[in-house]
Amino acid sequence: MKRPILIIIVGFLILLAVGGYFLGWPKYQEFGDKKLEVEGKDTEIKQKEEYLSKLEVFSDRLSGYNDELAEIDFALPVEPSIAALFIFFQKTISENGLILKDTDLGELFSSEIQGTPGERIQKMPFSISVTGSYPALKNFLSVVYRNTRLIEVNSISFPSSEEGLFTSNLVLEIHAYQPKAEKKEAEIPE
Amino acid sequence: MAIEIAPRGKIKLPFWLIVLGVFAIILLIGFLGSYFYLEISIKKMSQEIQEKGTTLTPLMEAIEKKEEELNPIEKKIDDFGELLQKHKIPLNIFNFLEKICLPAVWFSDFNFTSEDREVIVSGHTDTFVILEQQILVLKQDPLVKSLNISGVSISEEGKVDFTFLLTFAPQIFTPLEITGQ
Repeated sequence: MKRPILIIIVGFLILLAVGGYFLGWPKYQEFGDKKLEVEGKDTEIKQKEEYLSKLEVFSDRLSGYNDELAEIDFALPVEPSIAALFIFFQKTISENGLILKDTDLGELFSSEIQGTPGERIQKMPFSISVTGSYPALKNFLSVVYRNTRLIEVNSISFPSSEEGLFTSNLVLEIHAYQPKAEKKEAEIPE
Repeated sequence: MAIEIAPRGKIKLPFWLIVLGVFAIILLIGFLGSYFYLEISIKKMSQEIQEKGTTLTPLMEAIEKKEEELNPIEKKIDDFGELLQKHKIPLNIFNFLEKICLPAVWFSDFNFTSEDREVIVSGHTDTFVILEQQILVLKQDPLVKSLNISGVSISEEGKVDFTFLLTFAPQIFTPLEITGQ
């Protein structure tokens, strides 16, 4: 009588072990995976919340710099006003005792000049000729440098003059901004 | 003859077999309990993951919206900063030449290109000695990267004419390099 009971118990234990291996172990693994997934989600939520709060802080801080941002927009307009630029030069030139002899703003009106694909900052060169004294030219260049439009002076040339007045040819450059353009990655030489 | 049923003798199981049987039952209960606990926990966690997913969606949307608002500003600030760093002070060239020019040297024709940081300047002086001194002064200045002299000749008035091709170091355009700014 003892033998059949023993066989039943041993068989039962073997069944339990097999059941544990094929049913219990995968369940346990699934449980572990889900636990990790929950922890991962918790961390992700925490990180996202922290990131969002950082963005909000940054946004709030940025709103305190509206004047500075307006200046940046002025220096890098999407569509620069050529008329306003011309008025600025006319005024600055005369205020500094120079005479505007010639201008070549044609390129500024040309759409091709803005056609450097991939670059957010578009260079817009133009040239002017002014007549006046050396100190007047220096004053004019100083005002141009300090202007918030960030006008670049690409070249200056003037001949010698005995009378103290001379005509200077200046190639200048303003900038336009293409916010949608993506910056070109630096080309890697082969 | 009366028939008597003899009472069946009580089966006595050995102690170790009872222990084994109890152990098997405990194991079964433990296995079943664990299995159902895991099953319920997995269901709960799946639900939790789903809920967290729904919490994440508006969070991601808010982040995306904020990024869309801030990224163009950040890019523009960066671009402006880069532009500002490259912003050249052409006036420094004049101040430099004024500072470095010897009293008996006169500069006249002037050509400046900012991209190459090059200045071609013609001039005249009284003697070759002064010209040599001027060249020495220019060569010793750390802001002058290279100096080429050409067109050295004696004019009808007996002056020494010359042309300098000066290439400047990038620091020439930084605000603090030249005194008198």
